[in-house]
Amino acid sequence: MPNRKIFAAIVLCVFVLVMGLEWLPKQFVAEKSLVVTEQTLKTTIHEEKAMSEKEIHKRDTMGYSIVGYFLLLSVLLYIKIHLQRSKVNE
Amino acid sequence: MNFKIHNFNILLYTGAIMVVVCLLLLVSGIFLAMHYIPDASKAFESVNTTIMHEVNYGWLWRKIHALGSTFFFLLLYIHLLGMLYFGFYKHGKTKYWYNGMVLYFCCMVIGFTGYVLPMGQMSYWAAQVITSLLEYIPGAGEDIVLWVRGDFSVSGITLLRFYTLHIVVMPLAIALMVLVHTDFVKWYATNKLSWNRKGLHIQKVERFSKHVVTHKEPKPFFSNAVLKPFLACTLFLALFFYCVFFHDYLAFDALNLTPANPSDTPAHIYPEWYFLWMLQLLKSFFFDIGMIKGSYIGMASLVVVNVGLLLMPLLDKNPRRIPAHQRPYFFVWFWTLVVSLIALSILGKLPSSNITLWIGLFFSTILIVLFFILPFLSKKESHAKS
Amino acid sequence: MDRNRRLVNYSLLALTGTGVYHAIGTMFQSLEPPKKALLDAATFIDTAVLPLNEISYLSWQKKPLFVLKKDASMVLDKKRDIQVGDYYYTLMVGICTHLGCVPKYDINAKRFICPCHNGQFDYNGNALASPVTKPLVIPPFKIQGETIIVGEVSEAYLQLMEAAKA
Repeated sequence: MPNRKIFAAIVLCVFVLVMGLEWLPKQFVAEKSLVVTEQTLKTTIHEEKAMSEKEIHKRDTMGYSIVGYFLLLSVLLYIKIHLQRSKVNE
Repeated sequence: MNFKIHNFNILLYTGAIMVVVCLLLLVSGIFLAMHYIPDASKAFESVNTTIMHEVNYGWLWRKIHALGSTFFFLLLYIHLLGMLYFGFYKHGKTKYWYNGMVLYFCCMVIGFTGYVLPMGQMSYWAAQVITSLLEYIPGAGEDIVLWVRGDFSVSGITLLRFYTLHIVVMPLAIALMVLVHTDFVKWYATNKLSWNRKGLHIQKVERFSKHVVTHKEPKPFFSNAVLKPFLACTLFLALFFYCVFFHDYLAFDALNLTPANPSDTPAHIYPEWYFLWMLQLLKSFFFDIGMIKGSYIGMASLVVVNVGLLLMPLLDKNPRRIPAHQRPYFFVWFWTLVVSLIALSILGKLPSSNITLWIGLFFSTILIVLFFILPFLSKKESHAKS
Repeated sequence: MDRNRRLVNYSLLALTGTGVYHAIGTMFQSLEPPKKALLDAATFIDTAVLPLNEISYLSWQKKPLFVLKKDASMVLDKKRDIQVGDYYYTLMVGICTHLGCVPKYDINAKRFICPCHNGQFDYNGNALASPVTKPLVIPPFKIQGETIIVGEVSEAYLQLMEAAKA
């Protein structure tokens, strides 16, 4: 099943890349200048303070509904492909 | 019941998904452009205050735009490497490869110019460093730098011309190139514009038959060939919006949240992730070889790799268009390339230390050597196989 | 077409429709004025600092606003005056009711003369010479102590509008 192998290879490469670019630099930052850490900390707190709890909750709901919407769409399309395929093969 | 879908492979659909992402970038870009001010002193505020906090859903458009560009480059690399793997740059398909490489360079320009626009610390210094690189072009280097920047250093003038490039020139160029790349122009000219006595928009079966064609059972409006890319797109969009809402840090660097300060270079500058391997190539040669300075070797190596990728059809001497898992030498070559690119990207972001310098040098040398040995490797392979 | 396929097709259509509806709705919401534009929705006028018997030039919603503070020495117009404390005020949006130019006040003639087609208004905003027939528009206002808030509707404003129609 080359499709699965290709997909697995791509997912693995992307995973390694994301880990290397997000997680790995954080392991080194603690030793490095405090300025960068301070800036990172300050800016994230600022962002959170600027938005209220309600706004964060609203955005999360929006996120879940949009992701759910596309997953639902995918499921329906998958069913449609199957129903059409059986029809054509008959 | 058979639950599998025939030939549902991500590599077949990277193109369609990229078109969807381009549309998302276009729409979000339009709403961003309505509030962005391309002035050196006002740009940062227009993005980080007006768009992010004052415009309704401004934060959504910005996140879609930033993550869209990240995912676009991810898909682009997957597509490029996939085509490389399956040999889809060989006879019959060379024009798509060249066209695609031009698209690749256009996309790099649009990505780079877009990143400069918010005028954060990282944006400004990325622009400053990369435009300074052009100085090293032999001959007219310094003039070229002045001509690109429009000023002695990256300033409001540079910002304006990057903005024009980003919203007008590059989108048009990319749109036209994509139409050519997907053969849309050729398809339209050959299938929709042909005229004969039977008229336009006639079914091919009917057009070329000498008899009256009896109508058969109507086929579904959306064929499976169309539905499978749709399915790939919806699955991708689910992943995409999941990242937009819950993992947006993937596209936002913390350092870019401070306004640009031309007199304060941050300790650790790096471009967006899709340029990191190039940055590492430039940084890798930290010593001089005889008369040639290390930095020159670095730049030359960048040119070598990009030109090597561009000229793949000429470098790969094996004429058979078969996948890499059927070509043992090329298989090793390909995965060495992928591993080197990933390693260089990761190293590009890490702070410089002794280990990273030597590992970087190792992988950079491998990358350059790969392109030089490919002709010999592929020739050997084509003779070895019967 | 069998029932299953029809069901799936209709659901897909419905979902696509709602998706497009919400996407377009979001886009239209982004087109609404952002916070800094909404700040212009109301203008606050401190009546104590206005000069007496003179036209003051302010702005409301990015349009010119003419305010006249007067005492009994000038002509009072019951249909257009607002009384705050001892003085009377006339609020006028400074856009000519003919074709939209901004009239200029002539101090000697004590009237507004529009530079585009020579339309004329008196200092209370009533139309004098053709081509203008309608008086200068009175914006919605609300009186709060010594302050007039232009941009908010109040009883006094609605009463003036009724009086103007009569």
